[in-house]
Amino acid sequence: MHTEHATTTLAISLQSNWLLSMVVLLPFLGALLLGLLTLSQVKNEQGPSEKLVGLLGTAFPALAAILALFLFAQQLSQGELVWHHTLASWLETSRFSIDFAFMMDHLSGLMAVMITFIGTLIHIFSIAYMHGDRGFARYFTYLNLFLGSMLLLILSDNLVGLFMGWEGVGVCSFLLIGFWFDDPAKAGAGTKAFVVNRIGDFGFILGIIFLFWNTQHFDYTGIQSAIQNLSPTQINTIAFLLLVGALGKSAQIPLHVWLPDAMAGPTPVSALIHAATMVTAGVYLIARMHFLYELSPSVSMLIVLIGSLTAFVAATIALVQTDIKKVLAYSTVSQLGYMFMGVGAGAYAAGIFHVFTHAFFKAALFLGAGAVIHCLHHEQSLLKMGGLRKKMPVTHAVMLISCLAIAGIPPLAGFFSKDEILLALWDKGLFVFWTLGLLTAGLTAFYMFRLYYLTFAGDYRGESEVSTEPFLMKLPLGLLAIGAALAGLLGLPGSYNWISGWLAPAVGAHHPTASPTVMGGLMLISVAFAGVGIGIARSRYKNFALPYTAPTGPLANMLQNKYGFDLLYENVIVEPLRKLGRFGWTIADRLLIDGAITAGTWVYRVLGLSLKQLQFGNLRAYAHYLIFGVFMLAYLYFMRHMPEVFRL
Amino acid sequence: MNSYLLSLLIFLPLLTGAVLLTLPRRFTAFAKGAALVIASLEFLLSLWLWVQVQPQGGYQLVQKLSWIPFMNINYHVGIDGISLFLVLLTTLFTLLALVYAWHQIENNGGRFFSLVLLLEAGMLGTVLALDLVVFYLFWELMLIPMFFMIGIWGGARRIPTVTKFVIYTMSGSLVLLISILFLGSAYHSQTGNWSFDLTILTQLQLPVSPLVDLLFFGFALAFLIKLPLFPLHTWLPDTYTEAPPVVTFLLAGVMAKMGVYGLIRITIPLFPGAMERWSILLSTLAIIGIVYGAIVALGQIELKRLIAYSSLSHMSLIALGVFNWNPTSLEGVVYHMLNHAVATGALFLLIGIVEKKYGTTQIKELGGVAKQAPVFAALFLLMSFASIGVPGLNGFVGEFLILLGVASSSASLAILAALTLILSAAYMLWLTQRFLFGALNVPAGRLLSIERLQMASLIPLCLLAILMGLYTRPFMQYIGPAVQDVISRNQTQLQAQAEGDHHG
Repeated sequence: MHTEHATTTLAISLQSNWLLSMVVLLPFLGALLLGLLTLSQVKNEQGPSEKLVGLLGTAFPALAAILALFLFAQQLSQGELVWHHTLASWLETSRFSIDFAFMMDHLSGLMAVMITFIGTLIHIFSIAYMHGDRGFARYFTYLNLFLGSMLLLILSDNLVGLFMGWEGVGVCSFLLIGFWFDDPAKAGAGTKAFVVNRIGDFGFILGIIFLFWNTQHFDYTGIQSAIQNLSPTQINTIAFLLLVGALGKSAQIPLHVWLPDAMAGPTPVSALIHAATMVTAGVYLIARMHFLYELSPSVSMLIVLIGSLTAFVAATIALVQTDIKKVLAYSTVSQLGYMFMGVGAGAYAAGIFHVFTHAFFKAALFLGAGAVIHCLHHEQSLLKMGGLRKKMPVTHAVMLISCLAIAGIPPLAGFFSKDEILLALWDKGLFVFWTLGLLTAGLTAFYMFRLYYLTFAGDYRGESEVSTEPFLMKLPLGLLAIGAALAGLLGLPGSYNWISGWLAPAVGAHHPTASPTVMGGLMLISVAFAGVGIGIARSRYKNFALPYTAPTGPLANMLQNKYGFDLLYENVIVEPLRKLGRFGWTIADRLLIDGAITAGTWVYRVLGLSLKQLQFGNLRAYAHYLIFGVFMLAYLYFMRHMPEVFRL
Repeated sequence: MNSYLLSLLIFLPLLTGAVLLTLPRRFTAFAKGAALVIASLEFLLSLWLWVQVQPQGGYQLVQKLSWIPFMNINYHVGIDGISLFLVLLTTLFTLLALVYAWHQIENNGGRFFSLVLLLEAGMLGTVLALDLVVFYLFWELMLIPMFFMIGIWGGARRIPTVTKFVIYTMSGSLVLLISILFLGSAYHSQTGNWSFDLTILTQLQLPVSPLVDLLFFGFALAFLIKLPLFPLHTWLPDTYTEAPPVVTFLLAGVMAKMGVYGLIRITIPLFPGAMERWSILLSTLAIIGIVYGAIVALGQIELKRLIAYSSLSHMSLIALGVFNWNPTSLEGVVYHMLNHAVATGALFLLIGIVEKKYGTTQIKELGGVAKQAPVFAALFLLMSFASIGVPGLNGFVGEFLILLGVASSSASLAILAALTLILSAAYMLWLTQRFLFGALNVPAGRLLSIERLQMASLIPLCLLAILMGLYTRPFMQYIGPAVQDVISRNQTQLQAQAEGDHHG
């Protein structure tokens, strides 16, 4: 009976594993269809019908979500089931071949379900948000393309396939940040995002290459089995290079500068790409390669250091932002810092848990902000909002839940995942970083409720009429708010922690050693910090009225200047390189190389002038022939009389 | 029949091109039509060749006819998995060039089309020749139509430019000829027989001596100029800018590859020892070319010159792959030659449309083109991404394999070469940002649109960029064995030399 059951389930898995490839392919197929549709209607002012595009554009991600959920459900019911499917061959050489091969284990299964689910919701939201935009069809093409690339990234069974998705999401990010490309600033933000990411990819690709020569594998299983043979130096080098890639994609210091600018894109894009999914790919990469980072304590410590610095620095910058999306952008950078702290401390499951909860509450926050921006007719300044609680009750409720969730108030999602990370730091004895994380939690609660009160409390300070959010916005908002409220229950502290057990086969188990008393104490402290942050925000901004006086003083200036990273890069790297490019070639090409050749031809020309006396016609040609002739004569002479000259 | 296939491929365009060239001007329409038919036939023939050639090492479809018996110079041609794709590249690009040029070249089009056929013959002969003298003749044959095509149909500064181009190229060729004759004589003095046959000369035992190294450079110079390798590149930006875009398409797309091919087929197999001795110097120059070309591209203010310098950077990466000489890097090199041709070629064709429609290619006089010409912008972006090596498009495959191959011999070289990832993204996307995006800024009253025939020449390139990025088997199954074969021959010869030195 038991074996019969096992055979049936095995048969099911064998028959349905092609569905895994379909999860990845479906959004690509959608992008292809929509792309052709867009191009075919390019001469038409109206573009293709929004209904058709919206329907197609959402159907493919929704189908992918259903399939992903189906495969995930099988995993839930069948222990440690790992799905595999090889779709086609890709890169074949005489030494190795890389396939489009997919693998869904507990880690990538969870990610895939989350990505397709949130992705579908954001597609639905976008139908309302992008209504009337001339680029409606182009938008959905890019968004489908993004989702396909993201799933390729998550579900590939090897690093090169992951890299393909990795760069693919980068391209889509570039296209969507600069979606309204008439604005040079927006187009510039897209370029910046791609180029900064390429700095990360520079490290990433070298990491993949060195990993291959040391393990002879690109696929995770192969790498994992061969990793033991590497020397510590090799391990550290490779771990560091892959980390560089992760820093770029996940916007960590010093490669964080692109993400705030990326807010130039349409707000649902910020929700999907620059908050919930793509930017967490760096955390996924480190969790995926956990077996590498476990062997490299020094690089892991570096990850904790960078993560905590980023979390703190970004949170402080968020304190002074007055653009609703900029606050959320810095908050994302800061939360990504938490995730890095988690995976750096060896708590890979906790890091992924925070990826998961953050996806819900941050997507809800961004979409909520999007709804506000939409209803205020593209107003993004917090100073021109206020009093929206009554005018937009649904958005208000969603934003309140999500703010509480990110601030770390129990029992909402952010509380559990953030505390898992702080606990892991405490467990490892990393008290400095634990303190930094705690301070950041307080700052987070403060700036998020500053945003909340400035948006929803007090009186409306804007001029334009406030419209109401359409149903297609309320639906995804509501569903995401449920996630923001409940997702944390997957990782209750202590032995009830489902998610940690679930991820253990993929990223290894991590058991906190702290006693329940200590754990409870730590939680109380972090909730207290959050409460204080909220309290201060409430006292300062609940009854906020214009005029707004921007904070002054050296500290505030430093925060306004975002610690000077952008200025530094612009003045020390970008401008000098451009100048070098502009003047380099005049000096090197024109002056040095051509100059030397011209000098050479002067000798030639003097010779030529004397030859001219002999009535040659075309100077250069005849000079060539002359030299050639001399050579030929000399050659024939030597051939006949001294053949030993040619003996080498 | 099959043994004449390669000769048919070479001499069909050679003879028809020569005949069409002599036709008076009133037969222009006929000449253009006939040239197009021949180019199409050539392409079909080369597709047939793809079917005929077996995915294995060594030369196939070989034909050898005695030509100058007293010096044992033979008409000897053959094909392998490397030259196969250069043949396909040549015939495809010739066809696309003619389709594109149909309306683009207005003045004396018949002559232009005949010259393109002659150029095709020269390139095919170069790729297929297995005798050094025959190789040299075809190598020189390429220069003649190119000289006229730039000199007659080029831009305002075409005369000084074509002079510079010819002087550079001729200097290399001259040295090559002398080196060929010298090597043939060396063989004669060693064995008492004459031979200029590549398959025989590669078995020559050469000692380690300054003279051999000099000869190595004599055999390399022409190819390094054509490639071009820093600092032999200064002819390139001028020529690419002044030549008509469709000529630059052939020049950058196909002719530059002949330099790479010459190194792989002739120079390195003849002088494996010297290559090993000089690989550090040459690799360093290649690295300089990669970085220098990219940084200079960043500073350019004109479209064609920018792509020209980016081409220098990409070709330097290919050169680096050649100098590092291992199976992975060499497979990458062969693949990347095709990628570079597709991406850079398409970009030049697109810029040709800009030049024709807007009358300017100065970046500051252009902006927001995507607003006016979305399809053009989409194609330009696609090719930009292909060119900067985004995986999923063809450029990545070659770049990745070359970096992978280079890393197996030197980590530091690979790290420096990988800088191209950052720099190429910087100059290419900054270009698209200024040129395609932003507020609309184009010459008043001008409208950019792609005509039907131009579209017909661009679409195959776009499809190739995607196809070659997603499915490499149809190419790699031929390239792999051929590269293995070339490398193992080299290895055998190096060992034989080492033993020879040991005994001597």
